[in-house]
Amino acid sequence: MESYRDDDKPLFIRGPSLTLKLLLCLTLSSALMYADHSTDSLNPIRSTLATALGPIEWLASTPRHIKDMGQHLSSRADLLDENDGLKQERLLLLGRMQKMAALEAENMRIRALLSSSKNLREEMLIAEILGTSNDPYRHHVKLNKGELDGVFEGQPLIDAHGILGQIVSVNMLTSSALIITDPNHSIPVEVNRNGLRTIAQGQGQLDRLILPYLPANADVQEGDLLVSSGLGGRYPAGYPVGVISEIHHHPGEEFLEIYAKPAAQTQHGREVLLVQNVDVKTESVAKADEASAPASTVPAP
Amino acid sequence: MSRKDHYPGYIVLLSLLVALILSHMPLPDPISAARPALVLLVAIYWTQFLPTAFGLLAAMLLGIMVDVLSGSLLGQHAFAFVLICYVIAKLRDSMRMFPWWQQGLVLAPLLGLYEFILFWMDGVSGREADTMWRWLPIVSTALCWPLLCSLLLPFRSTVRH
Repeated sequence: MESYRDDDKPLFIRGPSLTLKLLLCLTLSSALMYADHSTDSLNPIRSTLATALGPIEWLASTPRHIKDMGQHLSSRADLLDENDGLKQERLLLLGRMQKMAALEAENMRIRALLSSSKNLREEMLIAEILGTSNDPYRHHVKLNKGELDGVFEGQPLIDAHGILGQIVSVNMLTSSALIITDPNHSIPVEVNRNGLRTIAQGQGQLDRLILPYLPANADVQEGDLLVSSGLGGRYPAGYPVGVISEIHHHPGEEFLEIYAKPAAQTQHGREVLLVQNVDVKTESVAKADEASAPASTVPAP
Repeated sequence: MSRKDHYPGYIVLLSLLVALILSHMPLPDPISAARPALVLLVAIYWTQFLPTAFGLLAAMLLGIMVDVLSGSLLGQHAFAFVLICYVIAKLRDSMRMFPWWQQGLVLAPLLGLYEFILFWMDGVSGREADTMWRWLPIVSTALCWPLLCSLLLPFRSTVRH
């Protein structure tokens, strides 16, 4: 019927019809989705494709490369100022470190005495953020370290201020991490002041975490520091996660509505640290053994 | 006498590449919710104007690329791309009746369907998130259509034979 309107259309359709192609493609992509959702079997394909599409991602981040070039041209005076500031900061930190070394040794000795195993010093790998997720509802970042650098799935990610997230997928040269503010992310925490354990969940807002599981009589205050509790085995214990910013008590509700501000700088900063040895059990036992040896040589006061 | 549109081959690849790059460029937070679905728009353009070269399989492969780049469920964008391109292929003759600046309006409901499919898949796979601004890309993508047409139409050469 349409043939007189559209001369493009061939009289005899060669190859499968459009509807058949549609059904084929839809079935294929549904199968992909099902496989990707319920199994890990597609991860190699995904990471191969991601490596192949790397140039596109690199090109997409060119505006930032250009901005970085601008930084190369910053004036000498600025650099000198920055240098001075950094020197001072380094001095301060070194000063604090002296005490830290003593405290760490003491802590190790005491822990060894208690025969508890806790790792105080983790190995770090510095990574750079290549890009952030363009989906505003998903908080992912792409890092410039991949499988070749020893990055593994589930590896914790911190910045200078606190826990940032964890690695969720690893490619050959890059990896992507889930930020703690992603709505799919939860992290076991404890209140630093009294050790109260709970879970902090992301909400999809970069400056807010929610703590939905604390009962109305829980001992929390605004300004309390939340640190990772290490339960669940994914994050090392004792790193800052956030600071409690709001507490709402709705009369008649059993749970408090508590919000916390993430300690890590989720919106800025380029360099992040990947915590290397999170295999807490094996590593820390070895460390505790090491620590107990010098402890015995130290004369008791 | 039949009419056939021709485009240089490189322009098809280049447009797809540029769309892929642009749609993964970082945007400031306040406007990132309104990021237009440029890759889909370019796919729609070629489905409509160059149906012999750009079929459903190409749409699916493009969708998989978007899935990989955006880290979504593998096949999610592919599914939506295939469905939308199928509808466009079916509507091709009717779409030609409209001047190209009105075609943007015709596209809006389709883009709504696209966003809904993505949203629905997100929900099914347990990745649901804030939904308040999910409709913004529909508007921004429809607004980009005249722009895309004015960019690509100059490359068209019509052959009559």
